[in-house]
Amino acid sequence: MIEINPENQVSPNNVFEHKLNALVLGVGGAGGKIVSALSRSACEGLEYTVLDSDVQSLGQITHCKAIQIGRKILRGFGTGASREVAQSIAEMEKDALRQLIGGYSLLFLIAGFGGGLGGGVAPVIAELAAEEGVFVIAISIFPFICEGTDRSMRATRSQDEMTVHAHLHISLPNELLALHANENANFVELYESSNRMISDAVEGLWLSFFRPGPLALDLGLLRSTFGFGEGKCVGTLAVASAPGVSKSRVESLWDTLLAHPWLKEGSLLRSAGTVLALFIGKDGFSLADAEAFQRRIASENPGAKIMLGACTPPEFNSDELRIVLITHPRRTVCNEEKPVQINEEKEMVSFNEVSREMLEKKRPPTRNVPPPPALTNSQIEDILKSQIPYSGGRGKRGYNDPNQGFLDLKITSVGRFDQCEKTYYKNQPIDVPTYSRLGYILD
Amino acid sequence: MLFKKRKQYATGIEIGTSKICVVIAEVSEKCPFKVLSVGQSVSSGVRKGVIFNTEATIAEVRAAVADAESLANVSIGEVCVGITGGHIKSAFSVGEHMLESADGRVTEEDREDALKNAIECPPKEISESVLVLHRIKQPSLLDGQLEETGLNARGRILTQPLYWIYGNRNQIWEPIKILQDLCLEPKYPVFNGFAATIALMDAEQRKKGGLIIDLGAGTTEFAFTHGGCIRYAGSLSIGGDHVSNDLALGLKLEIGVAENLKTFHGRAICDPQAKNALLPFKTPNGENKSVRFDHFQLIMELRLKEIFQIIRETLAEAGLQLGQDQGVMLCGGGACTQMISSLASSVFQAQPWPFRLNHLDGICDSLKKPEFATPIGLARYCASKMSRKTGGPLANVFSLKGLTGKRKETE
Repeated sequence: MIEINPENQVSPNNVFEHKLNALVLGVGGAGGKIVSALSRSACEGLEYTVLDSDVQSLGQITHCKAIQIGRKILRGFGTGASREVAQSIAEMEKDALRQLIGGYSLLFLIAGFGGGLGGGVAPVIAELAAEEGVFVIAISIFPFICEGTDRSMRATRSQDEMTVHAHLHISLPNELLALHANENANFVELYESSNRMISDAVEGLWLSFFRPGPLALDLGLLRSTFGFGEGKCVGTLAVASAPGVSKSRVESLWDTLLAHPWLKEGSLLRSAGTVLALFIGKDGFSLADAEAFQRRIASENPGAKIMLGACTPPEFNSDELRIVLITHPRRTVCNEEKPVQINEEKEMVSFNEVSREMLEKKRPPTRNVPPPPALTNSQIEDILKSQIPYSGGRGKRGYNDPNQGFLDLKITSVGRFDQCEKTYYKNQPIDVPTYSRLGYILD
Repeated sequence: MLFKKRKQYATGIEIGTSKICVVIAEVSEKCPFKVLSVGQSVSSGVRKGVIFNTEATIAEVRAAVADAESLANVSIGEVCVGITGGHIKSAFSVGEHMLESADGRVTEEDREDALKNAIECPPKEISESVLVLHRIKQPSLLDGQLEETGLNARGRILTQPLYWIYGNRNQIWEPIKILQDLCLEPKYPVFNGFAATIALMDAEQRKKGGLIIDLGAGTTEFAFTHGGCIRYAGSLSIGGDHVSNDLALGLKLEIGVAENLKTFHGRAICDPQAKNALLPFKTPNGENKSVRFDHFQLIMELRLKEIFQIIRETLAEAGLQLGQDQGVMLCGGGACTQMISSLASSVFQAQPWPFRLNHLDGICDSLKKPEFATPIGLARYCASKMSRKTGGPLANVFSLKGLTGKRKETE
């Protein structure tokens, strides 16, 4: 007989210490607005905090805690769309950030990636949280294409960084909403619908962990599915709900999902490697419904790994059945077989993702440029393959790779020779001080 | 003689990174090379030996020339201008000639033919974009063996190697154009390292072999001589400015302060006694500050040592190495640094030759400084060329025979 160490037993007094707690953290202007909207229908066990440098934006935050960052440097203003400034602020206030996120089991990190603070600080927070052992679900908002190439480039860089650090990274492009919206839809309506879906998703995810139901889902399972390996990539989510308890509601949910803008009319579901479906409803969700739904997914995407979760939380007041679907792209390389090529493959997957968006983007018809020809999926795949640059070399001439990697820029001053033609000897920049190149540290 | 023979004035102009120096010398039968005056001005339009601000350089050259002319009370015409910069390169070509005489002896005609062949087959690096500064005859080979002249050696094939020093055409023309704008006659563009060798090495040293290093502010030139001729020469775009820059960055000083400290307290080898010592100095604002003396010396030593090591590696790649009986002599502003000869001696494993100017007459005392070696060499080269042209007895006094071959006229 093994005696259980009394110190390890969970006594009624320390049950709370083992309870799940989560922080919904909105970073930057967009993140702050979303979290502020989420906090209006607060869930039990969730805490809402907004982090921003802009005092004006923080002043509009209601129902949740607002924290100003970078006060000394930015004096209450924004970062001026500079990721570098944001990153340096995050580095400076690392300890405070660590303190902010420490002690939580789960962190929902929500940020818009087009600006400066969200894209610069959120990946640093994700990294710190991961170091602290907090499970990080990052939801990033990709800017509209009409907002400019700079924003898209910044967002791509932030997305890459976030993917490295977050356990589960969900990217939600605004452009997809715009493509599926009415012609007369304005920004407020688009943002509201986006906020509503994110709110439903966060609530659904949280309730699945906090109030496990008949098909339990825990953080460990999620971590093992999404959070390991260097081949992590960006997922997406979709939320749908069907009222009542009619038998046809699964059909209705399925149709809604297939038409969902963030799933690109089901194409991301069909190409997904992992599909996580969470059902939240008060009652009436049967085993037959789960099987029917699983069959639907399997018929659309036979190779996908399907995970189903279902919970019936008492605080879920609505009588509707809600589904939160998270799809994750397929990891094209098996880790065991080609461990060395993981990075390359990751880039390829990420590359495909954006390129596909570019190809699917509707172009306005013009007099001079004919509309793009209709392509089948296999033709799209062929085109993408032909455009992937060979590993270690330059890509096709003239092709602008939006996911091109950025080298770590370590600026070494060469003082008065900054404006001169650089002098090299055996590939060494000999204008750089010798002591510096030889690694001497002058304390 | 009805009329007194007109005096000739040889002028050397060095447009350096830190200063522009003009040396005027009188060339006469009585005194073959007598330095009359030196004019100087600060150079602000040159970086790493390359002119980037033509207007500023023209004004500064004009000031230096006017300074020298007023001191010597003469008006100069033909000048020899120094060329430097990282664009200076070198290469070898080889001319072969089958001996025609029945007994297999080498005649003067054979030598000329072999030399012509070497000139006719330039190295592949010589193209339209470059300008040849010097073509230097190397010791000839007879049937693959070094030919010992005067022994009437016999053989079948005479090989004549030729060493070409060339540079970027545009960058060589830049100083020439500047001097033309000033109504001077820049007839002889000469590589600075070559000029320094002329100024510093006598015939015996050239024969024995040695290395001349001109440590300038923006560039470092070097020339290795052996067997009476230059065997290898080159120019690095590193110099004293890099030392000052390293000090400024490493010790967080203003560049002017770093320059002053280097000039007055610079040392090429770290002094063990300087460990933990402080070097006090005054900022331009009058504040008293100090820096770690050991760090100051360490930064200097690392940079200077690196410069010498690069030269040593470059020579080694060309298959050259200084022997123990050969020496290394330093000139240029950097040569004034304390212990620099010892550092060079230890890096090259050769004797440190003390700085000494070759056959100097005139205002010698003020010129016996390492920074004047190159302009004096330029003036001497000019004197030699002028003497050859006149064909007088002076032609042989500073004959560069052996040191240089027939040079392509670039004017």
